[in-house]
Amino acid sequence: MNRLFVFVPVLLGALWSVSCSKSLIDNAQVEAIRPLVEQVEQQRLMDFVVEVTNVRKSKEEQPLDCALLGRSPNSSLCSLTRKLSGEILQRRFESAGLRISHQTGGTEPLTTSNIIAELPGVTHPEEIILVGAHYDAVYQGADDNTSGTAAMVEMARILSQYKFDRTIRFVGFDLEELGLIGSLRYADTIKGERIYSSIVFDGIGYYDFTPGSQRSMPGLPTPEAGDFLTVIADELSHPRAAELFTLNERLGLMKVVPILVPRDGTFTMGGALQRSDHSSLWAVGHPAMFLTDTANFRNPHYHRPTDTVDTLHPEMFRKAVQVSLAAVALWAGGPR
Amino acid sequence: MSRARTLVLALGVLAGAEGRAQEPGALSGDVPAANAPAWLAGHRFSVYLPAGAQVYLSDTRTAGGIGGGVGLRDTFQERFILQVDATYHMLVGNSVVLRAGAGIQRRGVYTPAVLVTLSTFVGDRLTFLTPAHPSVPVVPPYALGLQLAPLRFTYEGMQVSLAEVGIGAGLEFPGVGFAYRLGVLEVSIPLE
Repeated sequence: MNRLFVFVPVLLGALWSVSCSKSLIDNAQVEAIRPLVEQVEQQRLMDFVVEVTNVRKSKEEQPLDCALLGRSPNSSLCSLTRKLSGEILQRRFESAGLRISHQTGGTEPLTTSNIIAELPGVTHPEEIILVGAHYDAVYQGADDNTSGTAAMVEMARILSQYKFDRTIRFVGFDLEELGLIGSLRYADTIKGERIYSSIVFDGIGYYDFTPGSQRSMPGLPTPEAGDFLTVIADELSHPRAAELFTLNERLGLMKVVPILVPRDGTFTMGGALQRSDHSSLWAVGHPAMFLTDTANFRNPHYHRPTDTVDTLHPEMFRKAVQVSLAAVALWAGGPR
Repeated sequence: MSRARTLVLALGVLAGAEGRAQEPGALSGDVPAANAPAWLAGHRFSVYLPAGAQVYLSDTRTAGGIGGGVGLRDTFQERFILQVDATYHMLVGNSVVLRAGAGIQRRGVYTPAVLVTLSTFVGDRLTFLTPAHPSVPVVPPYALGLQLAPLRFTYEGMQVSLAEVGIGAGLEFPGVGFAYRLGVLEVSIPLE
C-alpha cells in the first residue's frame, strides 16, 4: 500500500513533466522577432493616445444622441464618440500602406463601420492573424480603448515593413461599448474564413505596482499588484496562449497572466470573461484571445471622465504592445 | 492538543458510540445470510444522491462548481463504509468529479461519519499559465482528502445527510492544490 501511495503521485508527476517539457519556440524564431519588438516606440504610442483623446476632449466630435439610445442623460454612454477617432485610425492604417476596407451594417442610430486593414500573407494568404480593438469610447477613453487602437497602429507601422507567410488583418471595431455591436456584425461575415489566431485589445495601458491594487473574482489566482497583462484564451487558442507566454518569457518583457478557459468560454463563470469583442469571435467558433489590463478590476478611472492619458503607464503599455507584436509576428510565420 | 490526536479521538468516539447497536446482519437492509453468499453477510448496499458544491483551487487550475450526482455505497456491519460516486458540476464549464471514499460511521439513527476520499476533476476547468507551469497540464486535478458528515441520520436503511464538509490536497508538480467540498444534502436509498 505504501508503494502505491508513492507510485501514483510519481507517475502523475512524470506525465506532467512530459506535458511541460515541450519547447514551444526555438532560438532562431526568437532572434528573428527581436528586432521587430525593439522598434516599438513608447512615444509614438503615447502621441497617438494624446491625439485621439484631445479630439474627444475638444468637443470636435459629437457624442451619440442619448435620447435615441433610450439612456438616462447621466449614463456614461451619453459621452460615447467614435467618428473622428475612427478617421484617425484609418489614416494611420493608410500611412502604413495597408489595404483598407469597411464592413458596415445596421440602421440609425446603431449603424456600425468596422475599419479593416490588411497585410496580405505571402505563402498562406488565406490563413489570417486577426488583431482587433474597438475604437469607440466613453469620455476620453485613454485606456478604454485608445490604448488598444494605439497598439494596432504601432503594430501596423512596424509589421508593414516586412512580409509574412500568413495574412495579418487589423480590425477597428465599432460600438463595442453598446454591446459588442460592431464585432458581432463583423464576426458574422467571417464564419467561413480560416482564422489561425486572434488577439483583441481592450484597455492595455493602466498598471499599478501597489500591493492590493488588483481585484479579482473568486477562483482566479490573481497577483496582488496590478502590474501584469492578462490574456484570456478560449480552448482553440490554448496553444497560442502558451506560445505568447513562452515568447514573452524568452524576450524578458513583462508579467503576463494567461487564463485559459474551456471550450468557447461561454459556460464559464456566467460570462464574466466575455466582456469584450473577443467573445464575438468565440461565438462563431473562431479562436480569440483577449488582452487586457483587467479594466475595472484594476483601473479606478474605468468608464469615468478621469480615464485620461496621464493615468497610463507608458513603459508597461509599450511592453504590452511588444509582447503582442512578437506573438503576431510568430504566428504569421515571419518575418521573411 | 495536536490535530492528529483530535482526529484519533474523534474516530474513537465514532467507533465506540453504539447508539442503538444491533448485531451485524440483523439490521433492516442487510443482505440476509440465508439468501446470499457468506462473504456478503453484514454488507448493506445503497444508492446515494449527493448535491452541493465542490471546487479545486491551485495556482495553475480551478475546477468544479455546483451540482449533484449519484453514488454506490457498501456499509459493512453498520460501521464501515466504502463508496464511489460521480457528480456533475457547472460554473467553471461542465465537469464531473469522480470520487472514491472509505470510512466509518456511528451506529444507530444518528450516524455521523468520517471518510478518507480520493477525488479527480474531469472535464472543463480554468488553467493559468505561470513560469512554473508554462503549458497546459494533461493530468486532471486530483485530491486526497477527508470528509466529515456530522448531520447524518439513518432510519430503516434510508439515510439523509446535511451539511457535509470535505477538504483535500493534490500535487501540481510543482505546488499544491486544494479541494473543498460542501455537501448540502445527500439522500441514500438501500438496495434490497
